[in-house]
Amino acid sequence: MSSAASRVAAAGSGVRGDPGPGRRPPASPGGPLRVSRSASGAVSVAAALVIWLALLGPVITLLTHISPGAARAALTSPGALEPLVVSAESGAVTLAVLLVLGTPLAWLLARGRLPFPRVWEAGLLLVLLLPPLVIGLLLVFMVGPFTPVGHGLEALHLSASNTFLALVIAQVYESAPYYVLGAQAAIASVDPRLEQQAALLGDRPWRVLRRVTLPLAGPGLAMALAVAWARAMGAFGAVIIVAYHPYGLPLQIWTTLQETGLDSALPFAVVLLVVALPLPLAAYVWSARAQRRRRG
Amino acid sequence: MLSAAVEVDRRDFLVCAELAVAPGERLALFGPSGAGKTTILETVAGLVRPRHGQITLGGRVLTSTAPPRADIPPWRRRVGLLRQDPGLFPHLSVRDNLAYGPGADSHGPELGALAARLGIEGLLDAMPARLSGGQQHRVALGRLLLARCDALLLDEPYAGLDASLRRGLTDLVRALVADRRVPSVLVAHELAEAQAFADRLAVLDHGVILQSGAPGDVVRHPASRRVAELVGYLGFVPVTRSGRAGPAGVHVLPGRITEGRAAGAAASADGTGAGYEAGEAADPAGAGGWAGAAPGAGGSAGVGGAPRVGGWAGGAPRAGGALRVGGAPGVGGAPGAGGSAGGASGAGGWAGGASGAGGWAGGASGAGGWAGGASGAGGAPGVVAGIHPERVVPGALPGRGLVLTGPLTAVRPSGTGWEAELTVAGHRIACRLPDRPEPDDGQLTVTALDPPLFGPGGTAVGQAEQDMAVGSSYGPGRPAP
Repeated sequence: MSSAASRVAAAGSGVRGDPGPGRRPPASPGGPLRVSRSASGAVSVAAALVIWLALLGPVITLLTHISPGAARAALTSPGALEPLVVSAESGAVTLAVLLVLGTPLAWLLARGRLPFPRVWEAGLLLVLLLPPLVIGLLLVFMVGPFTPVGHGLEALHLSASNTFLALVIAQVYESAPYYVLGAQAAIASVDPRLEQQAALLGDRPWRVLRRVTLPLAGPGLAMALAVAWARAMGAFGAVIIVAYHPYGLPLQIWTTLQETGLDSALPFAVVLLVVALPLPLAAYVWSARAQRRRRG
Repeated sequence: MLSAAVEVDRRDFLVCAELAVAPGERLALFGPSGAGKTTILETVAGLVRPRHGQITLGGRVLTSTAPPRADIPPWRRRVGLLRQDPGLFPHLSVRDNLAYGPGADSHGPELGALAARLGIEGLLDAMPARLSGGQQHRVALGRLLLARCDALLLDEPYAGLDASLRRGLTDLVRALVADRRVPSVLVAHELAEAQAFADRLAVLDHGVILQSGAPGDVVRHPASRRVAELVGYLGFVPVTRSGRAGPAGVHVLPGRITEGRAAGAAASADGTGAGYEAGEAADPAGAGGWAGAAPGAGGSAGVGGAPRVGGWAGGAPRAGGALRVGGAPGVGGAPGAGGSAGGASGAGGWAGGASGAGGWAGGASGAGGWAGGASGAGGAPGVVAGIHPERVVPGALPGRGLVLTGPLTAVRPSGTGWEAELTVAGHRIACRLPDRPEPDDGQLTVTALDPPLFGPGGTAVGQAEQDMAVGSSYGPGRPAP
């Protein structure tokens, strides 16, 4: 390792146009320091590469293990794509709920308009840190059929137990903290003085929002939304307890795995990725482009 | 015309300001950080609500807490605010930033002409992140002008820029303000910046405008000691005056100077009139006394330029108009003072410290009064002269101000000249001199030109100028040890 590191170091100093270590007197003060600095750099790069590949490992495995025949069979079996529709629909509703209810909270938090902001943030973090399975259990006690909320829903001919509504509720619980905290950071990154400046230049508040706040917070908001979408798509822990039916994609993977085994579950994993990833990817590309454009 | 009379609550104090700026006029609000300057601007801009007050701009009432109440929101005020951070919208090009305000055409001839005037015509399609600090400020300024602001508020806009850029931008703003005939207010915590911009300077401290006037006047004639401190007076030396104080008879402090007729009299509190009379009485004898002082002064030669003392005593009739603070005890006429009642009452050091005091004492019967005054001073603050480091010239010019003599304690290069520090009567005096000072036996003599005088309450009580009566003399106000 050390010889490799010194080779990297020699190459590095060569690139910088310095005389290599060989041409430098061995006792020169900069020599050992430079080698050790380059060595630590090399170790860092190696560690980064290891963890990056390890994290991507499952995706690579998925692509190498799936057989086209099995995929076709699984996806063309009757009713196989219903969970896809359920997941997409519930995900869209979840996002709408988050946008409408979560954005104002994020804005109030970001602008320090709430009393005891730490308490508000701690509440969000608590939900973020609760295991989804625990959230599911507690949701049963909160909105189940024999609770006051359940009775209230019943009066409206609704139920939050094994229904689409239950699925959305579970997904909201699993994704809301990610969205609100992300959106808070995005809005907080917009300098309030820019909004002031826009107002002084003649813009009413809603115009300021449209011309300054949203364009500047947009990329961050999109990223927060994308993360929330991915969480909602993959929600499983809370969902399996309060909304075993209707099946979304994660539950379909789970039941397929239990009923017919790994090989037939894998294609649905691909489907889940195909559904869950485009929005985050688009948000990522858009935000990167916005950043680049701002740099000029 | 922009006029504002507001009281605004701040966490620690109340900002209470009244200002009126005519179209095309440039007012600078100058004061230390945290004085409330920015609060005033933000109140005018409608970003901060005043507790009381009224703000009008060109006949429009922007804010009024008295009926009929008014509180026009910022977006309808047409008040332009430029801060240190130019606040360009980072997602818009320079052109779109310039044309942000209502009615601005992003491809119109006005934008092009203004961009050319601002020197940013080549940058119109660049993004703000690409611009230098000075260019960003130009764009921000252009944006305000294109938005047709009726008033221009500048909140330390150039604080982060180098001197030459700052100068260029200041000149540009001055010219544009003159062209557009808009009232403009600059907030600055650096005096030079405020002076370079304004044709009227208001000094603000702790939420209150202490003084306002032409920039040069405010600096030359500060209305109070606090203003003097803010505009750069670094040293304050006590001065006292005895004898004739002129018909106005001010500057004579209770307890410090007493009537001169009764030798040995104790300090009398109401010394003003008495001192004046004493001066009258002493005057005829004064000439003799002066003359008599000369040998005495010569006798204490070696400290603080005795030849000058002699010259002064025997010299022109106006010489007495000079103020003199003797740094070293015993300067001039120490024997004479010691021989008078002054020495007996324990004020010898003080009396001796004043050049000519001995002479005065010897000539007039009021010597005891002097001494008594000194002993009665007790340590109460008296009249002080404010010394501005840039209003100090080397050498003794008694006709032009306050001659200061004292040991040179520090000297260092400053700009193209030198900064020297001498200790006079226990006070450190900084001065900026064109050449490296050459102290005489460790003692440096300089003259503070026309230093303003401040009474015990800190208010200005006049200026030490030549119109002071002959025969008045000043000594250090140091209380007797």
